Amino acid sequence: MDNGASSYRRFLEGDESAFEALMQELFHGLVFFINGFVQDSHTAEDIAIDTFSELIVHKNRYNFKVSMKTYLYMLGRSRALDHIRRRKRILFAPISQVSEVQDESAELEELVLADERKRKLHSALAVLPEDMRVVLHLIYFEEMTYEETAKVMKKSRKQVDNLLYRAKKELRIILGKDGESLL
Amino acid sequence: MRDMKECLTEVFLRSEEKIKAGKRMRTVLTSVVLCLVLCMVCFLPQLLPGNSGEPGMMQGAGGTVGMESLTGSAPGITVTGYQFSKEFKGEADVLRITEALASYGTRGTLEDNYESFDSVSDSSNITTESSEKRTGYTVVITAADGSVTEYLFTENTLKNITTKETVSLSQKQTAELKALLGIG
Repeated sequence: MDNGASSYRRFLEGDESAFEALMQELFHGLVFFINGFVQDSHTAEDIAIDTFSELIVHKNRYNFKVSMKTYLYMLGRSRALDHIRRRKRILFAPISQVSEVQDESAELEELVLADERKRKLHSALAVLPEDMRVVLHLIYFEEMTYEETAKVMKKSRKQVDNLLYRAKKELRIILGKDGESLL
Repeated sequence: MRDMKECLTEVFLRSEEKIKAGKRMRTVLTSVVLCLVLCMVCFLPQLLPGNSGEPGMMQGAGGTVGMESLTGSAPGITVTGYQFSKEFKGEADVLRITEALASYGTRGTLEDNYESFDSVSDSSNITTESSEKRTGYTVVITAADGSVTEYLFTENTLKNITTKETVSLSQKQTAELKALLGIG
């Protein structure tokens, strides 16, 4: 499995159906990842669509040196952060709509995290600071390597190492006795 | 949540829009750059210092240099003789020689010796023009406007070939002119 790079290569060679295969493989994971930043599944979906459209607009930007998943998550992260920066300047949605959004987030979580154990762990991440949440998500849920995680987070491998160590420590405190079995 | 087909359609739609927007932006940028370049080509020469601003005149920064580029000739004096050739380009030299040559032709003291070119060429003490050219010197003055005046300077005569006028020079004047032209 090359995380979509071969599908993208086929798409660049003119096979449009390959793009659908690429989306099937990575779309929901990306939405779930972006949702971790924006906390709104609709916005996350919108940003993910935008991220995928970048692959069509700038066909030569991806150099096949990193995995397609890493590249997409890098794009997705920077777009999500841009969105958060912009959102600070606009009004939030009324409280009545928030529950609906949360319901859809749960649906998305079920779609991406089939494992009950992983779901429990993921909900515990919510209380962690953003950096720790992202590093745990990428390593435990997306099964990325430390190098790939470092690329997505625009940090060094050493920083990722330290961050993961501290995140796990924090998570153990939050989860208490259950934490040992989950981690 | 939208289904995958909807998302895929949306992705292609958005990418199409982005590509179109990019093309529009490129066109606008190209037009703006083209306009700027055209404006610079048209108006920059007029804004340069030392330019008279006459329409249709494409002059350089300096007045003299600009004139050079227009007429294709710089003011100067060329003196040629038998195995001799000298050129004067310096403004001061050119002015001094031109004034001296003009003064020999107009000064009252020389009026007695003032004859027409044709009559002088007939007289016995002056040799034919070809032999004069071998022993004398040709002085060609190129003015800033490109007009050329040619003189033939022999031992004691100065002929303006352009106006066909001849002036006899005294020994002092001959020596003075020789010194000015750097002959002997």
